[in-house]
Parts: sequence; C-alpha cells; structure tokens
Amino acid sequence: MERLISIIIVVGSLIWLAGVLFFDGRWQWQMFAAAVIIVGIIAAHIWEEVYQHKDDEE
Amino acid sequence: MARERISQADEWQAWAQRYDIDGGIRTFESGLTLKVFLGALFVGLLMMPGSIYLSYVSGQSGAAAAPWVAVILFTELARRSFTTARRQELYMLLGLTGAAVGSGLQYRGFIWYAYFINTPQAESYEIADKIPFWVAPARDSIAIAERSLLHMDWFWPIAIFLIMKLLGTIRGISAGYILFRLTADLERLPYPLAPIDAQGATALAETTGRTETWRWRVFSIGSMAGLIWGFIYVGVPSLTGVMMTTPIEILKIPFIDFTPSIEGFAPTGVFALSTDFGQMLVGFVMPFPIIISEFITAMLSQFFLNPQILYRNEILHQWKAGLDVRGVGLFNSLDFWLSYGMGKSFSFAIVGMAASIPMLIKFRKAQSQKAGQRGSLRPPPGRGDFPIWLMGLLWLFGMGTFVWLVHWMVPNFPVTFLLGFAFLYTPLNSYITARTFGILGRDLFEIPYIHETTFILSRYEEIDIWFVQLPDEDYGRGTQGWRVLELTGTTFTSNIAAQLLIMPILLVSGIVVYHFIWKIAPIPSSQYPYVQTWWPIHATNEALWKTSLRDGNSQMLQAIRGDYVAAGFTSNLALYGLLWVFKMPSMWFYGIAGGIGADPGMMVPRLIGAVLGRFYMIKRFGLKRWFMFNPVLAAGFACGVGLIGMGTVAIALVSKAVIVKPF
Repeated sequence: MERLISIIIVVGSLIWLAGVLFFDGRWQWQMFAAAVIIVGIIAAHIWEEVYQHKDDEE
Repeated sequence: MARERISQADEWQAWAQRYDIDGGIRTFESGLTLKVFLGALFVGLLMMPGSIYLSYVSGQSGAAAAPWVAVILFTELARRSFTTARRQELYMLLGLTGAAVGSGLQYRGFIWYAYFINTPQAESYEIADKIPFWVAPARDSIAIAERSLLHMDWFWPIAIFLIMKLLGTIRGISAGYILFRLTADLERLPYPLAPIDAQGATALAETTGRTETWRWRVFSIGSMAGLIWGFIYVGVPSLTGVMMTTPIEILKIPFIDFTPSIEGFAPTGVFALSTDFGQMLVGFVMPFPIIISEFITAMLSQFFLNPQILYRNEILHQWKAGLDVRGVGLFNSLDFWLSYGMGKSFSFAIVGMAASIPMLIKFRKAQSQKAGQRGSLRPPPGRGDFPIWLMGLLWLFGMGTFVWLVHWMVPNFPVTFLLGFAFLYTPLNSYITARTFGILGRDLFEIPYIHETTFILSRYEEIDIWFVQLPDEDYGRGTQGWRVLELTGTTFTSNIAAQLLIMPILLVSGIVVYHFIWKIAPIPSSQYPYVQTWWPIHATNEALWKTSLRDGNSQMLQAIRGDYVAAGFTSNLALYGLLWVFKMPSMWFYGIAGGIGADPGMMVPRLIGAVLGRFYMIKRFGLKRWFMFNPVLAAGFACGVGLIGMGTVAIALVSKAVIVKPF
C-alpha cells in the first residue's frame, strides 16, 4: 500500500513538472496533477493511521 | 538503514514534550486575589505606553515582557515577606498583566485609518471619501488634524468598537468553554503545548521558596541582555529623537537594505538584513529543521529562482534597476508572488484537512479504549464549571446580536452570507481547529481568501464591506487556554471574574494612553522609524485590495493569474507528498514552503539563534536543560527590552509635556 501511494504522489508530481515544462504551465494541467497528488496525500494519512494501529496491535 | 515513518501528530507531540516538565495537578483553587488584581493593573498600565511606543519604533511591542515583570516583582515581594505565591495566583497574574499591557494596542486600527484616509494611495484609488463613518472620522476632521482620540468625531468608531469587544468576549468565553468540554473532557485530547504555558507560572512559583533556583539566574541573564540590546536598538534612536529632528540609529531600523547591491548579479532578488537581533531568541525556541530549510529555500528563491528563472522568462517583468526592497517586493508580488502565495495558502488548507481526517479516526478509537477516567461530560469537582446550555445560550445571544450589528453597518450586503458564516462555518471551523489544537497544538484547518470569495459570490461591490468584521470566527485556539487553567489548578470561575473585572478599566485606560502617544508626534514620522518605513507600502496594498472587486478589472484582479495560483498550489502539494514518500519530517515542509519567495535577510537573526542553540548551547548545557532555559531566557530578554521601551516613552512624554516659554 505504501508503495502504491508513493507511486501516485510521484506520478502526480511528474505530471505537474511536465505541465510546467512542456504545456506552458497551463492551469488545467497543473490542477489535474494537484488532484492526483491530493488523492495520494489523503490516502497516505489514512494509511499511516491504519499502519500504526496494526503495529500497536502486534 | 531505512528511515522510520512517524506520523505528523507523533512528530509534533514529541517536540512539544521537550518543554513538558510538569504533568499538571488536579486540585483547583481561585487565582484571583486583590493583590493579584492590583499588581497586574499596576505593571500592565505602567508598561502599556512602552509597548505601544515600541511597536511603532521597532515593530515589536515587547508586550510579552510585562507579565513576567509583574510575576518577578510579585514573587520577590512574596519572598521578602516570608510568604509564598501560589501557582494559581501567578498564572492569573500573567494573564491579567498580559491583557492590561495589550489593551492599548487594540486601538491601533484607529491610528492606522486616521493615517490611511489622508494618504495619496487612498486618494488616487478613490476610497478616501468612501471609508465608513464607523471606521474613522472624515479626512478633514479636526480630530485627525489635531491628533486627538478624545474628540466627539471618534464617537461612532469607538462606540462600535466597544460593543464589538463586549460581544466578542461573550462569544469567546462561551464557545471556547463548550469546545473545551467536548475536546478535553469528552474526547480527552492531549493538548501537547498547554504544559509549556503552564510551566512558566509553575517555575516562578517555586522561586518563592527559600532556595534560589536556576530560573532566577537565567531570567537575570536574559534581562541584562535585553536591557543592553534594547538600549542600542530602541533607546538611542528614541532618546535622540526627542532632542534632534533626525534620530541617531546605531543599527538602522528595521533593516539594512542590500537589494540595490545585489541587483548586478541577482536582478529581482531582494535581501534586506533585519537588524532586530532580538529575534535570535525565537531561533533558540523554534524547531531547527524549520529555520534551516526556510533560510536555504529563501536564499534559492532570491538568488536563483527570481533572477535566473522568473526574470529571464519575463514572468517578473515590472522590475527596474535601482529599486529598494519595498519597490522590488511590490512589483515581484504583483507579477508573480501574490498569485503563487494564494495557491500556497490553498495547499496548506488541503494538507491540513488531509492530516485532520485520520486524527478524527485515531482519537475516536482511543477514546473508546480508555473510557473511564474522563471521557464524559461530567466535570471534575471544584474546577468551577458552568452548565453547557447556559454557555450555548450566551453564544447564541452574542452571535445573534453581532450579526444584527454587522447587518446594520452594511445593510445592502446579503444577510444569508452573514448567517451562513455565523451559524454554519464558525461552529464547524472552530470544532476542527479545537481538535487539531488538542492533538498537534496548531491550527491546520483554514480556508484562505474566504472573505474575498464571499464578496465575489455576493456580487457586492461597495467598499464598506472590506472594513466590517465578518462573523467567521475560530474559537478553537482558545480551548488551549482552558486546558492551561486546568493544568495550573486554577478555577474557571476566578478566571472569568478577573477578565470581566479588568475589562472596563483597560478599555478606558487604553484609549487615554493612545491619545497621549499620538500627541507626541505624527504617526508615521521620523520618531517612529518602523512605521515610517512600512506604512506607505501597507497603504498601497490596502488600497489595492479594497478596490480589487470594484469594477471587475482592477489592478489587483489583473495581478491574480490562474496559472501562477495553480503553480503555487500544486508545487506545494507535490513538495508535501514527496517529503512523505521519502519519510522526511513534516517540519521540513513548513520550513521550505515558508521560505519560498521570502526574503532571506529577514531570517538571519533567527538563523543565528538556531545555529547557536543547536551547535553551542545544547553541547554546553545539555538538550534537556537548554530547552528548560529557553522560555525563561526569552521572558527575561523581553523584560529587559520592555523596560527600556517604557523608560524611553516616559522621557518622550515628559519632554512633550514641557512647554518652553520664549522668555
């Protein structure tokens, strides 16, 4: 799960970078990248708590 | 070796625990006694003029010093009288003196608008004659010409202010209390930063014992350093300002501007070295990763990003050679950084919300596991609690009257927006903040530019709405104060009684003191170097904002560009995400994001403090002792600077009161 979230965030960041470098920084591209990263960040925080609870139980 | 992942809540709680040397107590006593009340009033009112004066001379009010001066005097008197001071009394003394000394600064808006209404900026943006009567008297009023607050022309601004203040106090106490009961009693959130506040009173209560502790020595060292620094930075310019037309500044206030010197190799870069080396003490206290990452990012912004990328690509296009830091800053802001900063604020809001969601899940589970000790709405005996329904009614009354008053002030603004702010947004916002304060000791949830968005949605174009206080409030921060009262064992009733008793005295004395300080010299003028430097640029910014929605094509609206806002938003989200991927502490995010586009020169004193603390003080004193010294040292320093400010304002007032006869 951690790896999947990391991939989502990295992909979102790369989309943003590509949008700035190759698409004149158009806001539509940037906001699309932002949406991907937001999904990753929310998933990361939720997973963190689940991960820690499992750890505590062990 | 793989880095261990730590959640944001654990990271910040671990940092806060450095300062937590006291687990708190569970017996409650009143902290309000006659000697506490009179002591607070005496020191507070004595230092209030100094704090107002300092805020105009150096930008720092030094108000933090007054409570400590009061406590030191109190404890010394107690020791010499062979008695002891209770921690409840000392905590109450800290709070009351803080309120007393800060009571003057609440009127600073009057002086600002008295200045703003006659600025060329207000004139050229055609708002000088549109500032409402409940904000400031007319621009040609005799009250402004004579620099007098004790004049009938100030009746409406002062009357509205007083009513708002009273209603605000009712709402603050009632809503703060309800949220405290929910988050601390029912949900048992830890409030990690509350013990730091509680520690001050506890520490000084110890000194009234027979043995002298390290705290008194550290406080004295801080005070002497503050006295020396205050004399150089504030005392010399203020005293020479009394005698000469141009004051002598040993160190230029508030900064030494190197911006024109770096324009050869870093055009559009700014570097103004802050001369307020008192900020070194902030560097001692703040987390090291935040300070260091903030500085490095700011250096990269001004020496690489601005000149090499944004300037070369003509994004920063208004820059001209020869401008000072204020000019370059204004043009850079309008060209790019204003929009970028808006995006950054939105990213902070998203990050805060994302961090809040799992905290809700986690702490609800913890509550169900540990039910028993507290975890219910039944309060501990003797704490001085109130019925929640009574507090609810008080809040409804305070908020309802507030909304009605705002509607009376701006009758054409849609009342549905006011009701939405008051009864939907405010409770939700306050509850979320109370929770994040209870877990992290910080406010994570904040919707940026909510006022501007509302004004656009309401299609309201009049300028008066920009001057009114809207009913979007956040009582979440206030919940920590209740927790500190609990930790120091101070009854809630004594705290509220003290606040209500001291408020009328402070409201009257604050305005009288401000009146006399305004009489010393025009604000801004060469007597007040800090405001003389910054107020003109603040006036430009205020004029730009207040006219931004006027005709749908203002200079401000033109400056806001969607692609730059998106860049600020997405780059900061990417930064946060990537730091998470690489298991870096979240503190780095706040440091880096805070440093992007900022002036590194303003951070130098704090950086020196952080480096000194990290690489010398910790080695010399040990980690635990150094973090115990920090708050006491900072209080002593603020006390020393505050005493200098108080002395100089006294001399300035006396010199203005003397009338030289021509014979």
